Amino acid sequence: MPIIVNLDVMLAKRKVKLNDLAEAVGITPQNLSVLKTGKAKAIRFSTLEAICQHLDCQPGDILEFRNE
Amino acid sequence: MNESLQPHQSRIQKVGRLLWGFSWFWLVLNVMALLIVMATTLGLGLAGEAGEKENVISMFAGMGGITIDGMTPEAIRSLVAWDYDSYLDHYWISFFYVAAALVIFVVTMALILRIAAAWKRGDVFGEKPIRSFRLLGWIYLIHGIVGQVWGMIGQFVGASHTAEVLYFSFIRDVSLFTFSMSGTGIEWGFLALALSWILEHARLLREEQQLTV
Repeated sequence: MPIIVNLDVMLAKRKVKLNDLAEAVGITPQNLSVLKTGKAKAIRFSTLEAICQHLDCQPGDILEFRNE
Repeated sequence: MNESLQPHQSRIQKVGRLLWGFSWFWLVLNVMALLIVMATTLGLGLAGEAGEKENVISMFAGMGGITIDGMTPEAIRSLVAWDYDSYLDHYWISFFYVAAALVIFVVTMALILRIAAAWKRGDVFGEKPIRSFRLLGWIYLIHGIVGQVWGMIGQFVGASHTAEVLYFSFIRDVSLFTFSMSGTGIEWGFLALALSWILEHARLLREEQQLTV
């Protein structure tokens, strides 16, 4: 899929653990792991909003389009 | 609709268009056939010409591969319990049975066309196609039950001559309708394939929903 999820990069930059983010965002660590590993088919605006708020970043910092 | 973005949706619409075309073809073909049968039953029933009657008698005498060496159709006929001449005198009744069969068939096809129209729009799990599927199931179920019950009643027919005539004309026309509706197995095959296909898409959609975070 040409949409790349850079959540792991943002987590490393902000030095936030996956479990902590999951708790802050209100979704299970398993679901957040699905997003981090690029297995997710879709992301809700509410989830994206919560992640951006907690990591203090823009959606573009998490999602990237690469034309393969 | 962009195919690479919406592969399932696009496939649903393609199948919908195919089903739509085939359903119209099937509807026109069967309505024409049933109208011809209706015209024939009405013509035979009202005119009742001797030659035409004999044709029908011969047809029934040979029905089910009944051939006995050295016996004329009339002789074979005399072996059978029910009265062909009386049956032919009541032949016009068939017109109403075929008319009823035609109405049920058109309703059935209208439901299939509604499903096809919904699929053409890419709507598989909408209220309309689901309700149409349910109604279609009820029609087939009732049709099957009536056919079976009628077959059982047939075991006891004979007490009344009128009942016998009504029974046999009904059986003949319902058999005709059954052949056009489900006797070929095409519709059952279609329904089974459609259901498996819908379930497959439901599974894929559920998978997508499970992978939505």
